[in-house]
Amino acid sequence: MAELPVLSLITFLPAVAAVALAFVPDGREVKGGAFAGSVLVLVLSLVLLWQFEPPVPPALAYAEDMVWVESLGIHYRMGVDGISLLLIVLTALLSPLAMVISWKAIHQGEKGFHIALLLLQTAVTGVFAAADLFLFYVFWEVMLLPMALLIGIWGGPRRIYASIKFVLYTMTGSLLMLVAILYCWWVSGQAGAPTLEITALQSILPSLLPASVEMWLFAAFALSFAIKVPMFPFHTWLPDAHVEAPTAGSVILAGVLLKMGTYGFLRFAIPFFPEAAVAFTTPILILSATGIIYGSLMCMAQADIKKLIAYSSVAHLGFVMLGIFSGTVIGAQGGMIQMINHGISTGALFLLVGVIYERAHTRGVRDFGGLAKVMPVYATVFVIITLSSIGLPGLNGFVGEFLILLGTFQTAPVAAVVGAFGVVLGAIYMLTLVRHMFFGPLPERWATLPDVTTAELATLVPLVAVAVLVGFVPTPFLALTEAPITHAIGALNQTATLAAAVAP
Amino acid sequence: MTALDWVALLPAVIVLAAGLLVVAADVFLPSRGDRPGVSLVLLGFGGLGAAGFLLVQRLLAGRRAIEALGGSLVLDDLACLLSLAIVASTALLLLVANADTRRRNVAYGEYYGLVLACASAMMMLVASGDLLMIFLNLEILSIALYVLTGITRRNPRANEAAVKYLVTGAFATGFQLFGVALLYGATGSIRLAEIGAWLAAVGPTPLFETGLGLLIVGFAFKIGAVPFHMWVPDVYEGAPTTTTAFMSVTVKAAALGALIRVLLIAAPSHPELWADLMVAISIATMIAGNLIAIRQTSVKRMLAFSSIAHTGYALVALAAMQGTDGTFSAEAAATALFYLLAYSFMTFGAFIVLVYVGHEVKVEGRPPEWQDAEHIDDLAGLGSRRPWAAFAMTLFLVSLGGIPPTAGFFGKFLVFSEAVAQGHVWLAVIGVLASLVSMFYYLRVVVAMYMMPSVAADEQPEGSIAWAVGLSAAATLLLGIVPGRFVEWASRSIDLL
Repeated sequence: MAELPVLSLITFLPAVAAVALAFVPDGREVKGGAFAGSVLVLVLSLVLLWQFEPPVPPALAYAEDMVWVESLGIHYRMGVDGISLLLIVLTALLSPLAMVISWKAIHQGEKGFHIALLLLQTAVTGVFAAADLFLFYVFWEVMLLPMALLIGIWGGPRRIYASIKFVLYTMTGSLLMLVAILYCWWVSGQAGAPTLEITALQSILPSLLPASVEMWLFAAFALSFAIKVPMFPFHTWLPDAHVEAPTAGSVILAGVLLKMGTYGFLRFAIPFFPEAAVAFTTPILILSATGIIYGSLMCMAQADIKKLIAYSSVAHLGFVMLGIFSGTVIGAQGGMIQMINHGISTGALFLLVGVIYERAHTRGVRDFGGLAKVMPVYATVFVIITLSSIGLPGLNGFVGEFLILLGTFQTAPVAAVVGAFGVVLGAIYMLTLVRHMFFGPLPERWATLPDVTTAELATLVPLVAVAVLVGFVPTPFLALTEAPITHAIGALNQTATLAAAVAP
Repeated sequence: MTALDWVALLPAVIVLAAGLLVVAADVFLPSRGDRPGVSLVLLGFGGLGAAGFLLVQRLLAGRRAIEALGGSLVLDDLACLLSLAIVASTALLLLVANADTRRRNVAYGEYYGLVLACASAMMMLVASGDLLMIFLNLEILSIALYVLTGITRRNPRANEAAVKYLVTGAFATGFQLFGVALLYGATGSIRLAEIGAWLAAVGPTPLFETGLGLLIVGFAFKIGAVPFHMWVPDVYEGAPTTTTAFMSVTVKAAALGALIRVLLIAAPSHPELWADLMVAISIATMIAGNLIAIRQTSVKRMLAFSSIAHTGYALVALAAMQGTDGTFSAEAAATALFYLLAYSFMTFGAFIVLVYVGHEVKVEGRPPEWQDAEHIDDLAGLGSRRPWAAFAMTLFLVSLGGIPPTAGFFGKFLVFSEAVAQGHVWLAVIGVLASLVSMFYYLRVVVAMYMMPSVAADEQPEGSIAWAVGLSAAATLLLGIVPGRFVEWASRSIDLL
C-alpha cells in the first residue's frame, strides 16, 4: 500500500462524496451515499491502523510529498504517527455514527446537512494528516464554515448567535497563528530554503529563534489552540455551540474538533518552541487545574443535560492539558488516551442526549426521573458511559485519568491534587445526573417512552465496545503513542531527571 | 508609427475598435426588438477574446517588453498580466450586461461602447510609461465611468452618484495634474524611467517630494484609500450594480497597477519617500473600511466599504517594499499583483450575485429599471431558493474574509508573508485583525442566506448572469487551489520591470 496515497484518499473521500451528493436530488440516496462514503473511510482507516508500523520519530508514516506552489516552495505533505493516526480513526468512527443519529433528528435540508458533515470530516481528518504547516492551516480554517453552518442552520433557538461566536472565537486565534506561521516560514528561510514542513521546522526552529521572539510565537500558537481546546478562560464559546448544535454537530465538535487544540500543542506549539513551552508550563498548569474545577462546578449547576456535558468537556480537556504539560511521558500519554476517551464517552453522551431529546423534546435534568423502568437498555448504556466518563477502573476513563495524575504528581503535586479533587467532583455531577434521570418516581408523561431503536443502539454499541477495550487492554494504544509523545514533549520531558533522582 | 508600436498597441486598440464598431453596428444594423443582436455580442466578446489571446500568448511565451510611441507605452509582463485581468473582468461584465441593460432600459449599444472604451483606456493605463499617458488614460476611463454611473437617467440615486463621482473625480484630477506638473518642473521629464534616473542621480528635492505626494494623493482618490475614500460608498451604492462591480474591480486594479509602476520605475531609489506613507494609508484604510462596513445593512454599501478595506490589504504589499531596516525589495509588489487578481474575481462575483438576486426579487414601489438587490433582507433564504447562487456567494464572501482554499486566502497569505519578511510584523497583525472584523459582516450575509426564511422571489434570472457567477467562482477557487502559475507571472512581471 506504500504507493497508494492512502492518507489523501481517507482525507478527500468525504469531500468527493459531498461534491457528488450536490448533484443528487434530496432523498434516501443522499443519506445512503453519505453513510456509505463515511463507512468506507472508516474501513480504510481501520485497515491503516491494522497495518500501521510506527515510524521512528520524527519520521512520519504513509508520507506523501508533492510540490504545490513551486516558486514559493510550498508543498503538499501528508503523514501520520501514532498520535495523529488514532485521532484520524476516531474521526472516522464518529462520523458515520453522527449521520445515523441524524436520520431521524434532521427533517429539513438533509442534503445540505450531509454535505456539511462530509466536508467537516475532510477538514478535520486533513488537520490530523497534514505534515506541512501551510496545508495544516488550510484544513484548520476550512473546518470553520461547515461547522458554523451545522450549528447555524440545524441548531437550536440561539443558533445564529452560537454559530457566529464559534467562528469569531476560532478565527481570533487562528489569524494570529497565521502571522506566527508566516514568521516561522521567514525564519526558516534564514537558514536555507524557506520551508513549512513540520518535521523540518521541529528540528530547525528551536535553534533559530531568539528567546523573546519564541515567547511571542508560542503565545500566538497557544492562544489559537487554547481557544480550540477550550482552556479556561477561553471556553465561553463552547457551551453555546454545544447547546445549540444538532446532535451530530455536538458529537463531532466534542469528539474530534476539540482534539485539534490539544493535538496542536503536541505537534506544533511544544516542539517548535520548547523554551517558551517550559516557561509557560506553570501558567498553563494553573489554567488547566482551574478549568477542571471550574468546569466541574459549572456542571453541578446546570439544569440542561447538554450544557452539563458541554461543561464536562471543559473539565476533561483540562485533564488532557494537565497531562501534556505535566512534563512526563506517562502523563502526556495519559493525556493522549484521555483525548480518545473524551471523544468516545462524550461523543456517546451527546448521542444519548440526542436520543432522549428526540422522544421527550426537553433536556431539563429535573424533567426526568425513573426512566430506567421504561427504557432499560438506554439506562444501561447511559450508566456504562457515565462510569467510563468518571473513570471507573475497567473502562477507558480510568486509564487516562490515572496516568495523567500519576505523571502530574511527579512534577506538580499541587496540580495533581487539584485534579484528583476534580475526579471526585466529576463522579458527583455525573452520578447526580444519572440519579435524576433514571431513578426515583417516573413522571406520568414519560410512562410510554419507547426504548432505544436498533439503529440508535447500533450507534452506541461501537462506542461502548471501544470504551471497554481501551479500559481492559490499553497497552497497544500506549505503545502506539509512546515514541511520538516522547518526541513531541521534548524539552518539557523531565522523566529522565526524575528517574535519576529516585535511583540510588 | 512603426510596426512595433502597433504590436504594443494592438490589444488595447482591438478592444477600442470593438467598442466603436458596436456603437456603429447598433446604429446601422436593423433593430432586433429589445435584444442585442448577435453581431453586437460577437463584436464585444470577439474583441475581448482576441485581445485576451494576444496577452496570454505573450505571457506564456515570456516575450521581451516592447516600447512603443517612444517609450510612452510599454507592453511588458506587468501590463500584460493586468490587462488580462481587465479583459477577463470586462468579459464577465458583458456577460451580465445583456440581461441587465434590458431590465434597466439602457441602450445596450451605448453601454457596450462605453465599457469597451473604458477597458481599452485601462489597458493603456497599466502600460503607460510616462506621466502624461497615465493622466490621459485615467481621464478617459473616468469620463466613461461618470456616464456609466448615471446611465439609468431617470434614477435620482444614480444621478446623484454620477455627479458626486464627477465632482470628486475632478478634484482628484486636479491634484494629480498638479503633481505631474511639479514632477516635470523638478526633473525636466515626464518619462517614468528618466524621472527614476534623475532621482537616483540628484536625490529628492522639496519640489519633487511635493509632486510625488500629490500624484500619490490622486491615485489614492482613484483606488479609494482612506482618507480619500469618502466618495466610494455613495457612488458604489448609487450606481447600477453592474457598474459598481466594474468600478470596484477593474478600475481599482488598473489604477493600483499604474501606481505600482510609477513607484517602481520613477522612485525605487528612495523608497523612504513613499513607503512610510503607504504604511500609514494602508493601516487607516484597513481599519476604517472594515469598521464602517460592520454597520451597513445594505449589502451593496457593505461591499463598497469592504472594497476600501481590500485596497488597504493590497497597500500593505506596497508598504512592505521598504523593509524596516530601510532596504528596498520590489518583490513585495508582486504579491500586490496577485492580491489584485484574487480581489478582482471574488469582489466581482459578489456584486454579480447581487445583480442576480436583483433580477429575482421585486422591491415594492420602485420601477424595475432601478431595482437592485441591496438590502441584506433581499438575500434572506437564498440558500433554500437558489442553492448554487448562495453557495457561490458564500465562496466569494469566504474568500473576501480570507479563508482557504480560496483566492482571497492565498492573496492575504502572500501579502502578509511579505510584510512579515520585511519586518512589518505589526502591519500583518493589524491586517489579520482587520480581516477578523470583516468576517463578522461577511458572516451576516451567510447567516441571512442560510438561516433566514426566504423572501418572495418569482422571477427567473437569465442564464448568462448565472454563467458569470459560475465563472467568477471557478476563478476564485482556481486561484486559491492552484495559484502557482499566477504567482510566477506576478513575480516575473515585477522582476522584469
